[in-house]
Amino acid sequence: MRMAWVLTVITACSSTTHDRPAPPGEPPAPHRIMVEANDVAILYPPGGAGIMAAELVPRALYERAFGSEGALQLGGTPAAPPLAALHLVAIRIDPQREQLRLVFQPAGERDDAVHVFFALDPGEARALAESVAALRGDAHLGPLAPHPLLVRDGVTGPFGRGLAAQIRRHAPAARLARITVFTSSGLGTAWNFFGVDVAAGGAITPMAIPTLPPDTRLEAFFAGFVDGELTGDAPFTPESTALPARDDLRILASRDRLARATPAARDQALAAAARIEDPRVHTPETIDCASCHVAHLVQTRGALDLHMFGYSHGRPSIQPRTIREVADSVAALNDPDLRSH
Amino acid sequence: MAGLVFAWLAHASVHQDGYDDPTDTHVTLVDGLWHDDTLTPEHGWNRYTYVAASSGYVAVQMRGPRDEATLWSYLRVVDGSHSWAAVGNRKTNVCEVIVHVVRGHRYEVIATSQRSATLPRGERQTTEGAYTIGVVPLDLP
Repeated sequence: MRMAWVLTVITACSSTTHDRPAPPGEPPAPHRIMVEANDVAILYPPGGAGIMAAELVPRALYERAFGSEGALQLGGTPAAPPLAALHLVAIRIDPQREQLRLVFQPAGERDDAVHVFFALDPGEARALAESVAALRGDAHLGPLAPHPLLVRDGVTGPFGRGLAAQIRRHAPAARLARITVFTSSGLGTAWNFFGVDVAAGGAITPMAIPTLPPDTRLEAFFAGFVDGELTGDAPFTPESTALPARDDLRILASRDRLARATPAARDQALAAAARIEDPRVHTPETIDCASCHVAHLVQTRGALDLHMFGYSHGRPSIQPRTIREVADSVAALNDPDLRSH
Repeated sequence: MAGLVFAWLAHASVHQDGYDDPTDTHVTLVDGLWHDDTLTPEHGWNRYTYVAASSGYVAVQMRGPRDEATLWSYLRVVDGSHSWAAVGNRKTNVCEVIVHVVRGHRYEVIATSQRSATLPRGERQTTEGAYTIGVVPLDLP
């Protein structure tokens, strides 16, 4: 219900095409294309964009970050996916952070993903979003979904070619700022999160994970071995000792802990999950990776889909938090007080 | 002569277990993290290292796919001359060995399969399939 409401809001916002009326005596402002959700969050159809990570991420940098191909991570958790296997499946343009995020996933059965972040210059995210919006002309794309023009025309159609050119232009290796990795282990019951920050010049440092001890390099979530239930105990590794109660959803991630919890504790955990799903409350700088990725799962207890925007076992994955983030981006870009000119 | 006797005894002890030599995976297991691996007849059983981060009880777990008839989970934890072993539950194919560990102490964890046992006529059963292995600290009263 809540998701449907958010989708409706996005659709309503993005279908509005008015600019602020010109003051009396002044000529009307020229027509501008209003940015829509699918202009700033572009999900390719299954099969991806035809753009490989190896084209945009230097192999040497990737190997400095995660080791040589096949190098297992902490505790024998899976290696980062091979760079050569990663296809671009989604794009996020974030005007609030002046950031371009490219989502790559390997073809095949592995439930892995690599997110690559590029720093944009001030105003560049807006320019990029408007360029993408201009590529679709007057078409209205509706709610967030696999991009309708890419679905209709394929990635080699006019929109797909124009979009690929824009991505290549705005994502040079010199602007790489962060790479995050998400791998699956436990025979599909556990997920491992880790990443690096990339400084200008290519220096790499392990990404700090909020609320976890400072030397933490990898966080894992374990769903447990019982199909259809969350029975991992402990579900989060390492367990945070710094989460305030208002942001602690952990009892929702464990069937047994939830069964023992008081109604008040359950309510507080549900409220925490809602806070974590709200981008106006939490960001990647304030909450740990796993809490954010499971916030929807622990409320719905549905399919084990931890992707925020991409594909999970071949099915599109668009989490409610992503929809909210995109709604905020669209609102910011279409705000007449913030728009350029 | 003494060397020959020792070698024979060592050989005999291997045959008592009915296993091939282990394959050292060079993986050090870490509390709460899951390592996926595969057993194949050519590689016998797989050996891991675990160094206890703190003293207390841990559950060493191994799980194979439930519908994979070629692999039934079977674990052994070795600490010098002591060892603990268990076979997997037939419904869940989860094998669990609960051990009291000492902080900083190193343990060997050996993953194999009931299918790797020697049959009555000396034939080997085959061990083949994917599994996952991990160490879960337990908070026991």
